[in-house]
Amino acid sequence: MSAKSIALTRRDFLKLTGGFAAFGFAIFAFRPQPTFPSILPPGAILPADLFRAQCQRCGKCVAICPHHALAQDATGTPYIDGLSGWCDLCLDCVRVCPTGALRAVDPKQFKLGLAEIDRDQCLAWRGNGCRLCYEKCEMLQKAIELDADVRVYVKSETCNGCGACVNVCPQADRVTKHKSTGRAVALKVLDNGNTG
Amino acid sequence: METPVETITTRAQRVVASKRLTKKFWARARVITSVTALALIALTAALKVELGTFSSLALGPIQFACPLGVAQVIAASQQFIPAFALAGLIGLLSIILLGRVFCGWLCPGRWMFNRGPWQEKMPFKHRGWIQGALAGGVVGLAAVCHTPVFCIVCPAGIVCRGAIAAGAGGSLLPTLGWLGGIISFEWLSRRSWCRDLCPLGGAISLVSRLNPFLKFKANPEKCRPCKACENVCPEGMNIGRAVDTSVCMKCFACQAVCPRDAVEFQPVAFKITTAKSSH
Repeated sequence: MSAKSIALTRRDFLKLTGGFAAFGFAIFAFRPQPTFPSILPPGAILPADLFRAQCQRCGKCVAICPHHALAQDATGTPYIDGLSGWCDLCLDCVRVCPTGALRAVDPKQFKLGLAEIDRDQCLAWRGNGCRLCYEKCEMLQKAIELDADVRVYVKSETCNGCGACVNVCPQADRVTKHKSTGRAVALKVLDNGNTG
Repeated sequence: METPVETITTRAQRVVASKRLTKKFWARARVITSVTALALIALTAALKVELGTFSSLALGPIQFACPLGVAQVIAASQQFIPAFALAGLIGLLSIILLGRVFCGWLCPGRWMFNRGPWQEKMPFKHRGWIQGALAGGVVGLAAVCHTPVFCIVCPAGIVCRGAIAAGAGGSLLPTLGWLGGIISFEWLSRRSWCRDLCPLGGAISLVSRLNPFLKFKANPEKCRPCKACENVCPEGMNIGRAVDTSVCMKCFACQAVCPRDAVEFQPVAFKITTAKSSH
């Protein structure tokens, strides 16, 4: 019994390899991904639909952001998720925006969103003693407080949604139901949109 | 590709060899210019210096903006934004001054996926109308959808977003996905994106028929109907027959390829020529 030899030319080989690579890349690119709550950059005081109309998707705000807090989604709209950096409301993005989609706001009053803690996933709530977000926020807004059992709470009136707590949260492995970023704390869009 | 040991003896062979070199030189110069511009965008994103992208560019106090983007944003938001409109006007003025230099020298689509003349050409006669319909349709679509839709899928904008993501540390996957979509659209439609399909190129070409600079013209004494320029031109133009300078990308391919050196470069030529007027 002799194995039938297959004549495989170089071109066929390359086609085959390229096809497999393209298939693998397609699976990788279209893998199920979490949907981020889209927190718009500071100064997006327009209603969300008007912001989407007025934003040119030029990316200048993303390029200038000194803390890497901004990123562009697949349609080019800038958003903040707190994963790569957090917003300190320096308003550089407002300064460079050419279309007026981002407008000058008072950084002391402005609220980007609201941090929300997933108590099932949070290490502090699971008795681990982690208080990284509390320590980070103590230096900024003082919007996270501890109770006697070292569990963390967000004070909604002080939190301005800067995303520093998301940035320092060590939980990064799982994607849970409303925590699309995989962290135990995530930014939530405010019901009345951005206010300033 | 094939470079056998050929001895260059006759004058014709020498011309062919030097032509091949010039063609390669201009092609490389175009790609290098475009890549340098994109690298600059990525660098400014990494160093956090304000420069902008092809969509809107800030050179010191002067703001340039893509006129099609300005038209779309104003149509979508139904608000007149004076500073942005002024930036668009400056962009329009630079297109009038330079013609389709953006398409030939800066837009990455030109070298990234537009691989020369494709099989099915748009008829020359109606090209102006088709380009007007593309550009106008895009602005109308923005007004209907309340979103600058073409800005989202514009190849130049997508690659600029990719450059920013590369510089600022973002994900390149959206860029790759959109580019794959555009390339497959080009393959399936069997048309050249830059020549027949790009609304931005169409809008630029509509404006650049007013452009008085940087024109190519065939010297009728030297020109013979050999079609060498038509085969190499990304727009499929025959320089010797009907020169439509509004679609010319100033890419120097025709001049580099012409075996008789009949293509003349005119830095300043105020006579407006379109497809209808042939000499």
